[in-house]
Amino acid sequence: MSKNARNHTGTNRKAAILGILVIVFFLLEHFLLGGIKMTEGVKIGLYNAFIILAIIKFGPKYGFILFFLKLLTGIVATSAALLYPLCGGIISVAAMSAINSIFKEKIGYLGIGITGAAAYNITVYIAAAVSLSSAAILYNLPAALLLSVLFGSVTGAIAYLTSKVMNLSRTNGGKNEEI
Amino acid sequence: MNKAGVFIKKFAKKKDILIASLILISAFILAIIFWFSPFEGQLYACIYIDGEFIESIPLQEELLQEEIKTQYGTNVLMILDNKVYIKESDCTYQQCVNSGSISRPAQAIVCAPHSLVITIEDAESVGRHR
Repeated sequence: MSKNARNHTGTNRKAAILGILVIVFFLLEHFLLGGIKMTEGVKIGLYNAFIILAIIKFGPKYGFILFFLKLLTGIVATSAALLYPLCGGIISVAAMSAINSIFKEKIGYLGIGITGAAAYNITVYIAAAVSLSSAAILYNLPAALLLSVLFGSVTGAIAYLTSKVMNLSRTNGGKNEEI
Repeated sequence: MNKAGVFIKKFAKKKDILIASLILISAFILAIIFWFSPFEGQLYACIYIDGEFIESIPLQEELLQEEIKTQYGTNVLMILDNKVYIKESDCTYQQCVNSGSISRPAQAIVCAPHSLVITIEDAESVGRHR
């Protein structure tokens, strides 16, 4: 087997592990922490830690694949609503990918996690305000932004620790650079 | 440098702190605009379905119960101590019931499955609907 083929297989295997972790953590959060009442619509989003890792290690394509895997799990296992998570997730993954490619090694897991959480919540609130034709829905946005910083830090920390456990390093122009 | 120091240095870089600060400042400014704007006079619970204004109910100390029936389902609205909350709903997620009570202008209770929004508005704002 050539070196390229081996690398490709290794990437897919590690991405598949991240995919399984996304599903497991999404379901754990939904069924174990689902009863916790917080500011309307705001969740911790522990699964996002592995999407962050996929974006940093394997690129935006894998980030979007893992997000759609989570979305599909939500529809099948929890009958979750589709519109708001779909809008929020796409913008969130796009924002995390953009900020990762713009700042490269100058930004860490913390900044990417917070950016993803804030982008998700802002998008969900705007989508709800537009679809229900009511700006009053934005009343809780300040609380959602505060929680974004908190929960984004948690998912960023989990992503960082998982990268250490799985021995993943940041890709940088074909070379691997430890962060 | 010890392990905790290495973790913090690698985990939280300058740009990370900058992003967190920008979001916290934005939240603070929005909170001042939404949460701490002064108000006076009679307040009303305004009911919207599919974005259309349906009716306004003055907030009051005494208990008032109103059933909101739409093509999507039923919500039971309660007013007590100048606060509004949803007591019951036959919607899927019960987020409207779990939202708790609202009492300040611009606050809202949302029931997305029933396309229902209840906001608190002052007399001037209610007058514009008529």
